[in-house]
Amino acid sequence: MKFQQPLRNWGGSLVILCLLLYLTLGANSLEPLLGPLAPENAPAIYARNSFIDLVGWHLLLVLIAISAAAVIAILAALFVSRPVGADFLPLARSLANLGQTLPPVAVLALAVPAVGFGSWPTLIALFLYGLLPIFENTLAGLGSVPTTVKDAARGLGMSPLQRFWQVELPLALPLIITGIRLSVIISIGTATIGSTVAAKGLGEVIIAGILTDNLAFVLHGGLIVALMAMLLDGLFVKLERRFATV
Amino acid sequence: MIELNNLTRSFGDHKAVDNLNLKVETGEICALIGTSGCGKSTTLKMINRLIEPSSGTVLIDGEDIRNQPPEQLRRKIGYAIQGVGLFPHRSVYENIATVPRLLGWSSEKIDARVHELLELLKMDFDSFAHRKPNRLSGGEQQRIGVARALAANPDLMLMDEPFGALDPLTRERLQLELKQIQKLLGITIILVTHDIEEAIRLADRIAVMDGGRLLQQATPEELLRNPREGFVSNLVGGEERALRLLSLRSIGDLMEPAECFELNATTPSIEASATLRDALARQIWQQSPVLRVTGENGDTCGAISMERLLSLGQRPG
Repeated sequence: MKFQQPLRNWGGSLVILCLLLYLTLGANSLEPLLGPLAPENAPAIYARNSFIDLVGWHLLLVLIAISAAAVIAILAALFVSRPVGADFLPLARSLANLGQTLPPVAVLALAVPAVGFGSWPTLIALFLYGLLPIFENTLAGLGSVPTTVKDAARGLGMSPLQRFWQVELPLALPLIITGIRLSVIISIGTATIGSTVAAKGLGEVIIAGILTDNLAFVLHGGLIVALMAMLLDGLFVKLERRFATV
Repeated sequence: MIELNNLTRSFGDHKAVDNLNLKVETGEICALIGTSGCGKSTTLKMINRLIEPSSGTVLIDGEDIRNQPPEQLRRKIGYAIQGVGLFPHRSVYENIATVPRLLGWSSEKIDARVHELLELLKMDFDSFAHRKPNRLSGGEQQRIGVARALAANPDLMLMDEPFGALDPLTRERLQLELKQIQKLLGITIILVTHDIEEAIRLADRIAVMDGGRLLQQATPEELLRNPREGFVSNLVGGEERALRLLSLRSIGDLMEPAECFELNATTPSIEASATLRDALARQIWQQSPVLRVTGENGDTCGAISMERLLSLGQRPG
């Protein structure tokens, strides 16, 4: 395991973090490296906003959208996994699927007339896109709790709430975290297109690069986004292992 | 005493349990035996209200179990099942402490109880208490399952094929341990099984079920001697009944005076606490028609002949 996934170990995460800090805080020192990629007389380093601000905005967008998606998706999955909510499973599943089927670009296009330019369209797109992995993984996690364990919990006299908090949720948690991890990773990448409708984030570096044919911008922004995704992936994997039971 | 009165449970048109009447005395082990789907598990689950009866009542020491909330009732009744169902995210210690915690025991009292139970089940506290269940063997898991069921000193324990998934050697050892523990604690056990050997080995009373109905309830000996025609007599076996009957009784109760035989130094001996089946096996193995019976101190206290064993295992009538 250790050798198969070096980027998910603490050492790997530390290396990624250092690279990330260097690409954001030390952006100006990259000029000689990226210079050849920029068109003549054009800057090699994006300067309209500081990189650290952009990283902050980018993460904040993902954090807000995925937190909201997690709350809704987990609650919905809990509800449909109880006997009372079982009838709503197909409905909830198709809604979550719908969120995943609509391309984020289309969501942006549809959301702008409704909520205007800025961060809102991106938040909506990320939220919808993030629902499905969390919803399905929560269901899978709750479904993976062995029947004998649930029967024993009932037979020993645990109340429904005690069974949920003390048995079902702890056992489902690693899979739920996996769902959140998938949604976060997807969103980190997807959030870049939000900059087309004026959401702040690293997308604006990449899009500025595309518009002005500046490969240095595209590469710089793209690298930071990729490193952020890798770093978060590693951290979430550690969290999953922390809660793994077997 | 546990009384099941006219207990019926239907699932749709199908009667899983059909008008069942059964009394289990305090301090007894009662085995509910039958094939899969005969209603024995459903019956068991109606005793701790995991399944509610369609009609009929269950009384424990004269009190209707519906008088208390199901959770409270279950905390007073031990429950051990096939597959054990230990909580995989909790240590052996925490698993055993489950019901005491639900009952709000103090941590000192819980700690003392967990020590006591692990000792009772011959498991070393230091090497087992803080392991997770996935680091236990099947037999160890089942022991912890029993410890968890016994944790809050229940007077009654329900067991649903608790040893079904174990290898024969481990199963037999745990059955013997269970019997000892039950005698020691004086608790009542209602056990569901499909294994007639297990029922004979453990139970004071066997209730045979088929198609949701109780066909016969009797002591193991009665059941082997006079099984009702049909399902029950098939279940207790044809010729093998003789050996099963012999396995029920110990030599000490049925031996003959040593003076009736000419015992000499080469006569093989057997302890008085062994079963008649063991005696017969030794006679065949050693080709000796008579065995010397020895007491706990090793002295000769009687003898047992093959002739006598053969008559004891005979079919009645």
